[in-house]
Amino acid sequence: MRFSIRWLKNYLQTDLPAQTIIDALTDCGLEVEEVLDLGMLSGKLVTGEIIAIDPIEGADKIRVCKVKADAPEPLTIVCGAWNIEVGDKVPVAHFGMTFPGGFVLKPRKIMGIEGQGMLCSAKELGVAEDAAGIWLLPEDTPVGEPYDAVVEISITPNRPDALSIVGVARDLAARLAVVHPDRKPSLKLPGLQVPEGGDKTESAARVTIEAREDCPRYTARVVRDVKVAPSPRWMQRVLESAGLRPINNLVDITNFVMLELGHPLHAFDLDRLKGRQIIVRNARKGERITTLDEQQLKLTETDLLICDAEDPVALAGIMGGANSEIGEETRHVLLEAAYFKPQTIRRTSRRLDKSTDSSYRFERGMDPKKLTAALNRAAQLMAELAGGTVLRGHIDAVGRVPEKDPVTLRLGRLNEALGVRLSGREVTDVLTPLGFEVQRSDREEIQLAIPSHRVDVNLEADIVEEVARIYGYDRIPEQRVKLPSAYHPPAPLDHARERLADAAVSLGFHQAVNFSFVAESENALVGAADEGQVRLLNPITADQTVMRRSLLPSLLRNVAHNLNQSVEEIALFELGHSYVFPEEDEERDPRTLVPPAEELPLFAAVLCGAARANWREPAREPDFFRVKGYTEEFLSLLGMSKLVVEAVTDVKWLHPGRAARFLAKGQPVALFGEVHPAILKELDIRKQAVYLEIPLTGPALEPVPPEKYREIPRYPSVTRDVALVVDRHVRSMDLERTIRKTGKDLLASVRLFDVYEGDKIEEGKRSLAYSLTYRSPERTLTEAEVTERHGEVLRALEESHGARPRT
Amino acid sequence: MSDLFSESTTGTGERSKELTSLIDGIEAVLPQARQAISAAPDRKAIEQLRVEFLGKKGKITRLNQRLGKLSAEERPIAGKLLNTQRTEITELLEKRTAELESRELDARIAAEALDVTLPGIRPARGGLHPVTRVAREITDIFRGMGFRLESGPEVETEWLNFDALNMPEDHPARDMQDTFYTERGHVLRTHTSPTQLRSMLAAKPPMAVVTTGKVYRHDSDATHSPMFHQMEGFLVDEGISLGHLKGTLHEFLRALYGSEVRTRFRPSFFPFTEPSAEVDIWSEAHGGWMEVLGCGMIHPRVLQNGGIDPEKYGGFAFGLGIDRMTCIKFGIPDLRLLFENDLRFLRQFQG
Repeated sequence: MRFSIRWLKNYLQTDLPAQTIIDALTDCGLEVEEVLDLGMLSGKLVTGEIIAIDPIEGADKIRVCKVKADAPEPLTIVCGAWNIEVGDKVPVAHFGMTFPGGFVLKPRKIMGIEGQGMLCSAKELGVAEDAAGIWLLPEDTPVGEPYDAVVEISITPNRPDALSIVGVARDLAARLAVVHPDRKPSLKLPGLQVPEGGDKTESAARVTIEAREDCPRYTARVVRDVKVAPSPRWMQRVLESAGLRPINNLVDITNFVMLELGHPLHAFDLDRLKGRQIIVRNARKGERITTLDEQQLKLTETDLLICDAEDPVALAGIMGGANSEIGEETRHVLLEAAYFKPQTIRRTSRRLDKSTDSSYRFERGMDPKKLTAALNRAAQLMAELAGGTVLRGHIDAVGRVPEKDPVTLRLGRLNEALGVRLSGREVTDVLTPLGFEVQRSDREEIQLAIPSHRVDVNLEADIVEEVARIYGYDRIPEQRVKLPSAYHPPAPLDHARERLADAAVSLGFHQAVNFSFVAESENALVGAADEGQVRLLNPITADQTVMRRSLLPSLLRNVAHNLNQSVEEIALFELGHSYVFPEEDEERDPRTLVPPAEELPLFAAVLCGAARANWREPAREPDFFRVKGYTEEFLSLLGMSKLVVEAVTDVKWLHPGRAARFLAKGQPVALFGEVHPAILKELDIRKQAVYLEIPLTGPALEPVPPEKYREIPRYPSVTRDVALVVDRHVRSMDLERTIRKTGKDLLASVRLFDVYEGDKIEEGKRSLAYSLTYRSPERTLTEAEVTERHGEVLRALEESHGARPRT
Repeated sequence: MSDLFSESTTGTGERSKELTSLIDGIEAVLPQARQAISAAPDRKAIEQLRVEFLGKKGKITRLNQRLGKLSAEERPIAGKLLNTQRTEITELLEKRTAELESRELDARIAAEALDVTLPGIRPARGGLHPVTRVAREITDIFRGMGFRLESGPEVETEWLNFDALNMPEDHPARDMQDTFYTERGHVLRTHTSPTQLRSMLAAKPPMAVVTTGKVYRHDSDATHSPMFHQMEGFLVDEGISLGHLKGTLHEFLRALYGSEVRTRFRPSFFPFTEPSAEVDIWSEAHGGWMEVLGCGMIHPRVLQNGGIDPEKYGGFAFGLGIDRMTCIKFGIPDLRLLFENDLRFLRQFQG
C-alpha cells in the first residue's frame, strides 16, 4: 500500500515530523518498504505558484517562468512543459534535490538564462508513469511549503483493515500516543453528510440476495443526473500517490473511498441494469461473463455473481462486467457496497488467476459493519464532484452477517507472555485508540469488544499481540532461558551425514546440492519411472516433474555441466533423499504422522576425469577399484568392516562387469562401479565416470562399538612372498580365504601386492602375488615352523584352486 | 714422548741395541702416519691407511712383533711407547674420517639443493557446499545453547504443513507460500515448521529443538529458488515469554555476527506465531537494516495441535532462510548459483 504523508495528515492529527511518523509505521508492524521524498524530508522540493510565464527569444520549445516559492523573491525557472498557466500550483525542486534514480539537480544555464530550480513532472518525481507536463498541485495548496513524502508499506495478510489511510492513521495514532503522549496525536475521520433528494432509493432499484452464505450483506444507493468529468486535482494527486491512474470522477470516487476507508465499491450504470435490479447469486456451471478488461471468463457454481434481471453484470468482489460499465454517457449510477465471504472471493480469484485491488481486500476480510459509511462517503462525493442527486435512503439487503464475540484478556497471562508488568490502565490506553472497547474490567481481567474491522482478532493471544505491537517490541526486556539439558548428542543419521561429508571433503570431493525434483526421464535412467514416483501436480518446468529416486542422474547432470565448462577432475558428493510413495495408499487419516512418502537418505559420490597429472606424478583415471576403495573407506568410517563384496549385473545403469555391492550381515550397504557406457553416451559424457551410493539406513546407522586395545605384537614376524599362477577366472577373494583358513593362528596378515596377466605367463592364466606375514603372539617362530605352515598354505592353494607358485 | 723415554732410561740404565733400534722404528711411524692421514683424500684412503698402519700386517703390528725379542725389563718400555703411538694413530684416523664425512655431507647437501619454488604435491581436498557450512554454523550455535537437532520429511501432509499450523484452507496466508502439490494430494513442505508439530507430538515439554532442511516453493528467479533451505527452532516450557525469545535470538546473533551486532525486533505476521516478529540486523555495508529472522510466540492453536496445553505451557519459534544468509555471507549475487554445482563455484569454498 502506497500513500502520501500530506494526505495521511488529513486523518492523523499530529505536528510530529514526517520521519517520526515513518519510523512509527515499521515499529507497529506496517513495514516501510520504500520512501519517496518529495521535499518533506529534505526540504529540497517545495510548493510554488506560477506568477508569470514569458517566451524566450530564439526558443520555441521552452519558456521562462516566475515562480513564487519559499524565497522572498520569485524564482526564475526555465520550463519546457506547456500544461502550465499563471496561477497554477507546482512542485519546485531546489538545487541539491535528489530524484529517484539518483539524479541530483545542479545549476545550469539554458539559452543564457540562469535558472533557479526546476518544475517537476510526476514521472520525474517517481510518482507516476505519466510524463505529460508538470505535476499540477491542488488549487488550494499553500505556497512555499516542503511538499510531501510518498511511503510504500507492506501489509501482512492478517491486516486488511490497514489497507486504507484511515486504518494506517488509526495504528499510527495509537503508536505515536505511546511514544509521544505529550503530543496527543489522534485519528480524525472524514465528516459525513449525504445531501439526499428526489425519490426513495427503493423505488429506483431493487436488490435480492439469493446466495446468503456467500453474500452476507449488500447495500446500495442511487445517484441521479451525474456529469462524468475528470476528477479534481486533489483527488487525482491522491490516486497517483497511491499508484492508481485517474479515469473519471465516478470511477475515481469509488477508488478514492476504497483508499480512504478501505472498502471496495462498485458503480454500475443504472440505465444498463436490466429491470433496474440486482440479484446476487452463484454462477451456473459453464456460465460466462465478460469483465470490463474485455476478458471472457468461464464460471462454476462456487463463483458469485452480481446480476441484473437477465445477465451477470459483475464478478462479485473481483471485477465489474463490461455490460454495465460507467462511461462518458452515464447519467444515473447504482453504487454498491457489499460484504462477500472472503473464502468465496479467494477461491474464484485463485481459480481464474484474477486479482484486483478489490478482490485483494475482500479475500482478506472487510468490515461488514461499515458498508454504509463507505456507501455514504461515495454518494456524498458524487453529489459534490459530479453534481448528482443522491436518492433518499439506501438499500440494505442482509444475508448472514458474522458477529464477533467479546474477548477476555487476563492481565497475568499478558504479562507472562510478554515478560512485562503492565497495569490494566496501561493496557487499555494502548487498546482504546485501536477501537477496542472495554466492556468490563477488574484487577485481573479486561473484557473487550472487538472492533468489527479487526478480522484478525478473535482470541486472547490476538489481543496480547496488539498490546505488544503498540507498546513496542523494543521496550520488552530480554531474558535468558534456562534450558532443561545442556547437550544432546546428534542422532545417528545426522552423525553419519556429518562424518561422511567431512571425510569426502578431505578425500577431495566437493559437495553438490541438487534440486530434489528431476525430469521423469532421469528417474527412468535408473529404472525407477514407476507407479511409486512422487509426481508433482504443478511443476514449474518440464525437467522438474518428479521427486528423484537416486542421486545418480543429478550428479551425472553436474558432471556433464562441468565437462562442458572444461572443468577437469570432477569429484562430487551429495547428501539427499530418494522419494517413493508406499505401494498402498488407502484412505489415510489426514492427521496421520506417518510421512506420506518413504524418504530414504542417501550418500552418493561421482568421479569423472583423471586426477590431473602433476610434474611428478602421472594422471590417474578413476576406475572400478578406485571407487571400490572409496566405498570401503566410507563404509569403514561408518563402522562397517566385515564386508562381503558381490558382483552386480542386474543394475542397468552400471557397467555389468564393473559393478558390485558390499553386504554387511547379509544386507546390501553400498552399490558402486563404473557408470554404464550407454548412459554416459546418452548424456554426452565422453569420459569414464564412477559412482558410489550408500543408503543411510540399517547397518549404516547402527552404533559403532568402541575400539578395544589389542596388545602390540611382541615377537618378530616372518614375511614370505608368493606369486600364484591361476586360471583367469579364479577370484582373489577365494584365494585369500584359503590362505587365511590354512595359515590359521600363525598367519598375521595377507596382502595382495601384484596382479599380472600377459605374455610372460600362459594364456588364460594370471598371476596374483601375495605377501604373507607369519607371527605368533606367544613366541618367536622358528624358520622350520614358518616353512612348514607356508608349505601347507601353498598345497591348499594348489588343491583348491590349482594355484602354482610362479617360477 | 721424550719424557717417557728419559724416564725409562733413568730407571733402567743402558739400553740394548735392539731396544734402541725398535724405539727408532716406533718413533718414525707417527710422523709418517700423521702426514699420510692428513693427506688422505677420502674414506677409502683412510681405510687403506688404517690397514697400512694398524692392520694385521701393518707397521704397528710388525713393530709389536719385535717386542718379543726384547728383555723382560725393556719390553714394557717399548710396549708402552708402541701403545701410545697406536692410540695416537687411531685418533688421527678417526679425526680425519669425521672431517671427511662432514665434508662429504656438505657436498651432498650442496648437490641436493632444490628449486623450492616448484609447486608442492598437495593431496586432493574438496569442500562442503556453502549452504552446509552456514547451516552447520547456525545449528552449532543452537546446539551449544542446548537445543536438540531433529529433522522431518519433505513430502508432507497438508494438515501438518498448513492446517495444524493455523493456516486453514482458503486462508490468505497460504498465498505467502506458493505450494507444490503431489499427485496424491500431499505437499512438498513449504517450510520446516511441520517438524515443530512432529517434535511436539513425539515428546513432552520442556523441549528445545532446532532443525534444518530443504523446503519448496513454487517460485523461481534470481532471489527465489523452488528449493531452498530453512533453519527453524522452537522452545516450549512453562513461563516462556517474548522476552525469552528476544534474549535467545540476540544471543544467537551475537554468536553469529559478533558481540557488537545491532538488532531490531519489529512486529510482523506468521499464522503459527503470535505475537510475531521479524528480526533485522544493522548492516554498515548495506547502510540499513537487513532482515535475518522470522519468529514469534507459538500460537496457542499450534500448541494445542501439538498436544500441548497452551494454558500451562508457552513457547517461541524462529526460522531463517539459510540460502539467503549464505549469499550475504559470501557475497553471492544470484541464488541460482548455489544449485548449479559448477566446480568453478564450489572450489571457491574449501572450508
